[in-house]
Order: sequence, then C-alpha cells, then structure tokens
Amino acid sequence: MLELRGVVKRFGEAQALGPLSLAIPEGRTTVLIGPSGCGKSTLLRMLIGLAPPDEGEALFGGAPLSGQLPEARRRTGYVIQDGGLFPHLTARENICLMPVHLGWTERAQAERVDALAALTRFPAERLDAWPAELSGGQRQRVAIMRALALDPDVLLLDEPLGGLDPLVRRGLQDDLREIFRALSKTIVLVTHDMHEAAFFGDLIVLMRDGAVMQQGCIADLLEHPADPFVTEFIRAQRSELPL
Amino acid sequence: MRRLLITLMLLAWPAHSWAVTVGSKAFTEGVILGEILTGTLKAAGIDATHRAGLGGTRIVYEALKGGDIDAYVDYTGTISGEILAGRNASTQDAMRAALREDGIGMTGSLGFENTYAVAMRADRARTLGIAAVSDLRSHPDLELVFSSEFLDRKDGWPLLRARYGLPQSDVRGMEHELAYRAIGAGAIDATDVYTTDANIPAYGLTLLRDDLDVFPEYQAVILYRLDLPADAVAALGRLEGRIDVARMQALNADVTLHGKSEQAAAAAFFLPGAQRVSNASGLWRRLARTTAEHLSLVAISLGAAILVAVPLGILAFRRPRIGQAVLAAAGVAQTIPSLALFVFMIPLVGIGGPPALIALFLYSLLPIIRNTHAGLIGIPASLRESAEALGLPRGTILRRIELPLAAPSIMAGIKTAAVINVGTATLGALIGAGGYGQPILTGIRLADTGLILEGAVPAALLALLTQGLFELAERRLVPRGLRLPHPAPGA
Repeated sequence: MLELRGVVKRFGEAQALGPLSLAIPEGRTTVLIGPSGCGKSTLLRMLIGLAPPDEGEALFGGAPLSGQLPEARRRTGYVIQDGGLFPHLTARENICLMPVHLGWTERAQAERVDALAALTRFPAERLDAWPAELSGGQRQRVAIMRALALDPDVLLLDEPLGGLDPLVRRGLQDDLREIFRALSKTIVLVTHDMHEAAFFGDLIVLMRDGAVMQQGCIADLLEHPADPFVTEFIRAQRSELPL
Repeated sequence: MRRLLITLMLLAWPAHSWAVTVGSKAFTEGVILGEILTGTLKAAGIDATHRAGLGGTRIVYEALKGGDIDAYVDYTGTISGEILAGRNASTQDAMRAALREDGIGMTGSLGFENTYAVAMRADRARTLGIAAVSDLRSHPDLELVFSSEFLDRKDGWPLLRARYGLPQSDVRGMEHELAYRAIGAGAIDATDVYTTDANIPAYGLTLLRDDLDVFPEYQAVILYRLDLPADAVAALGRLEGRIDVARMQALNADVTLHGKSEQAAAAAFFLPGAQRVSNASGLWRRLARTTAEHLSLVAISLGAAILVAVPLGILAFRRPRIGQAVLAAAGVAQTIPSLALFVFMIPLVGIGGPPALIALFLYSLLPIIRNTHAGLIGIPASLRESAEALGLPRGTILRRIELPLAAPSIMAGIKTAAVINVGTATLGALIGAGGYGQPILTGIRLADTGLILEGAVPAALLALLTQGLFELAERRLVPRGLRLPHPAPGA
C-alpha cells in the first residue's frame, strides 16, 4: 500500500532524512519511533505528500504519490499531536469537511458521524461543541473521527497521545488500539514512547538521525538488536520508572 | 471624454445652452468673486454654476486647464510668479501670450489690486518702532508666521527674505485665517496679509511699507478657457474696472465681519438692497447634504478598497515575492500627503468627487492588505497542513478554513481603514468633494467656530459610529469558535 524508495529530504544544508527505503505492511499497525529530530515525523508527512522527497519516490498503491495527491489524501486519514481541529468549526463540522465537500446528503453525514462517535466513544451530545469547549482527549477523538470520515484505507497518526495528561492518555490508548483492531486498516503511528510502540505496533521501525536502525516486532528488537543504539534506546525508556 | 462631450455639445447646440463652470480659490475674496462671475454670466443669460473654494492656485489652475472649470479670478503677481514661473512673463501682455499656450485667456484688471503685505499689530509695531519691512532686520527674534502658500511661493517669503536680507530663522507656516487669529491674540508678531482684507482694521493691524518694492503687482484678473463662447467672454470682460479696493474690502467685510454668506455678499454687489441670508435656517439641510456627501465618499472608497485589498492580501500571502511588492506599493501610497495626492489626481480625473474617492481608496488599501496578509500568515502550520492533508482543493481551503481563521485580523484591518477614511474624507473638501470638511474649511476661513463645529462634531460622531458598527459586524462575521477563550493544552 505505502512504500518509500530511496527517499532523501533536506532542510537547508542539513540532510534530515534518508536515503532510505521502507515498505509499510498493509492492514497492520506500523510504529515509527526514535529520539526527537530522528526524522520520524518527516517520514510520516512524506507518506501524505506534505513533505515531498528531494530524491527518490513515495508510492501509494504502487504508483507515485505525487501524481495522485488529491485521491491518495482522501484515502488517507491524518491526525497530528494537538488534533489540528479548526477552531471556527464545531466538532461535527470538522468531521464533515470532506463529506460536505463531496456533496454527501445531510442524512449520510449524520449517520457517518454517529457511527464514528460510537467507534471512538465520543459523547454524541458534544458533537456540536466548539473545539475550545472540548477536553484534550475529546479533541483528539474528534480528530480521529475527522481522519476516518471517508473510511480511508490508511490512517497516519503523529504522536496522537502526546500532550495529553497520563490518565486521559491511558484511556485513549486503550480505545485507540480497539479502533485499530476493529478497522484493520494500514496504520502508521509516530511516537517517541517505547511502551506505546510495543502496545500498538505489529511492526516497529526504530529511527535515528534520519536513518532506519532496525525494523521488526518488539521481540526482534529486544532479542536481536541490530545495533547497540537499539538496546540503549529501549533500556533508557525501561529505566524511566525506578519501581 | 469630457472634452469630447463638450465639443459634441458645442456642435449640436447654440452656445447659450451649455453651462459655464466658475471656480474659485479657497479664500473669502476668491469665493465672493466666483459668485460675482457666476451672477454676471447668469445676468447675461448664460447658464453658470460655481464650484466654490477648490483649493490653492495649483489646484484651481490645473482644474481650469483640464476643463473642469471654465473661469476663475487670479492675480497678476500669482500668474507671473507661480503659474508662469520660469517663463519670464512680467507684463500683462507677456502673461496673456504665455497663458494662450495653455489655452487660457486673461481679462484686464477688475479694478483693484490685492497684493501681499506684511502686517503687525499696530501697538506692537509702534512699540518696536517698525514701520517698513526693512525695519524687521534689526529684530531677528520676532516670531513670523506665514500662510503656507506665502511661505513656499517664489514671490513670497523666499523673495522677501533675500531682497531685504531678513535674519529671522524660526519662520513657520500656518493656515491663513488661523494666522490672523494668532496675530490678533498676540501669539505671533507678524504675518502676511492681503491688502483687501477686512480683518486688517478688525484685528488692529498695520501694514509694513514695502520700501524696496519687492512685491509684484497683484491686479485681480479673470482667467478663462479660450474655448468659452464669445458671449460668455464678453460678459466676463464687462467686469473689468468694476470693483475698486474699497468695494472689495467692503465685500470681504460683509462676509468675514458681518456674517453674510458669499452668495449674499455677491448678491448685494448686483442688488445693493438684498436681504441677508439667515445662517441658521439651513443647518439641517446643510447637515443632511454634507452627511450624504461624506457617507458616499467613505462608503464608495472603502467598499472598493475592501474588494481590491482582500484579494491583494491573499495574493501577497500566496506569492511572497509579489506580496512584498504589493505591501511596499500600498505603504508608499500611504505616505503621500493627502493634499499632494489630490493635486496629482487633478490632471487625471479632474476635481470634486473622483480624486477624493481615489485618494481615500488608496489610503484604505494598506491596513486591509496588511491585516489580510498577517491574518493568513498567522494561521499555525499544523492547521494549514491538516487542511491540506484532508485532500481539500486550494480554493476550498481558502474559503472554508483560511479566510474564516483570518477573519478577526481582516475585520480589524477594515475597521482601521474605515476610521482613517472617515477622518481623511474631511480633506476632500479641499478639492471640492464636499462632506464634513466643507463647513470646517469655511468655518476656518470665516473664523466662525459654529461652522467649524458643524463639520467637526458630525465627523467625530461618524468616526465613533463607524467604530461601533464594525465591532458589531465583527461579532457577526467572526466565527463563534474563534471568540472562545483558548483551552489549556492537554486539558
């Protein structure tokens, strides 16, 4: 479904990413993880055409992404850390931006919103509230509903739980995994939290300085580290809790 | 276009059926003489209208050359020293020949001379022992204030200072009628006056002798377009020698000292027994007229500015390089003094409403362009990318996301432009566009505080009203979601 071939991205003089190649497995959850500035968000943005590669190619469904941007974007949902909700639109209006643009009937819109609210456990009576009136966790649920509005094949999430307080984070984390399981879509999630990566990821891609250090399931990373950095990165996060 | 129309009308109709437009400079005597010219033409059976108090020499002469007006009264000294500056026309014959090149004719003197003189309060002059301009040399500390026109014109202060070798360095410019009030109150020592001015005895002023004969002759003459019909020229010519200095001073006194309107004073010239026109009766009518003029100046110029500036702001946002140029150009237009802008505009669009509308339009652009641009630039990158990632086309993103998010900033820009516009529109009166500036200018000219307030108070109220209306509009147009307090992150 998604593939990067020999991509390079530069920001000014510095080489931010690559050259790297990566195939995202279809219908599974892939987690991109690494320290700040390792290029994981850039890689995610490359998958939806927000950061086109300077060299190499991003492929969507086997064809270059750049040649089919509008269609590919409609088949992809994208959620960022603070939700990226438009403050001048209510929760419902945020969710229905694309359905309205595509001319769905009011009834079809309402049905879709109700289904999504049930899926994401969002209180239906808050659907007509403004983003500023919602809690952080609620805003993030609305962002996920907006990303899923057109029932896309792919869901990209950039630190969707970052910036939430621990309790809210925990609740949303559980719900999110259930959503992922229920949908069985191709999901790419960016995080810097190893626990989160292990919790969500069928495949974990560990990155450092714009390069992929290792990819595999959590057991692979633990038992067969490709580089001392892999072990170091995992251990550093494990020892966060002294208990 | 106007010329073409006039030519067609000349071909189609007998000369009598087209209207002569008389102009006048923005001072009492000029306006009275404009009324007299208009009355004279009407008395000869020629349709005539008066566009009163248009501004300084430059503005009125350009209007004459451009065909916006057909005749007005000027002075030989002004003609040779200012209009024909550098063309070396010192005699009346030489002036006539030079004016002919502009398509302008000149009558003989109307019978009086209104030359410049330097005036001081009689008591102060006596105390200091000053009787002639050359006596000013020994009093370098005197505070001289001249009308801006006198200060700048070649035959005014520069010539006076050079010829007499005057030492005063702190010389300032002031509106002429204000200078009279200042000298009357003892706030300044000397100023320039016109010799026919009725204020000279009223403020107890004495004229300093021009002992070196520096000031040129200032005979009042009529300048008219050579394409005027012969009967109109003949009617104007009959005014030669009809008004002597005493008559002119009396006419000026009727207006400045006795509170008559220029129309009433001029009517008395034709019909010595004419009744004085009451000043108060027409207050509401005048107010309705100036309000309508002012509102249409503001509404049209601001409306056009919004229609042009918002797209320009969007362009500046989308194409940063063009954007810099657009913002710079609008910034430059903003720095041109309004009077200068009006003068530039006269050869292009004439006098009255159009140049004022264009100037106000230009002044309104910058705040709107800048705020539209700033509002769009200020949208967080995360929101912009979220919109893009949805797969919405550019136009829809602009309409549904970017413009609503920038709405508070755009509305603030429009509000700023509107308030500036209401204030600046008062200057439109300088070039005959009417509005609240008209009573203000006339009031300053006649030293009539009531008349000044008649323009100033409604202008201030309108500015407040505009501010209030736009705040209401803001509430309607800015989406409610943007007016809520922002939540704490992670809450």
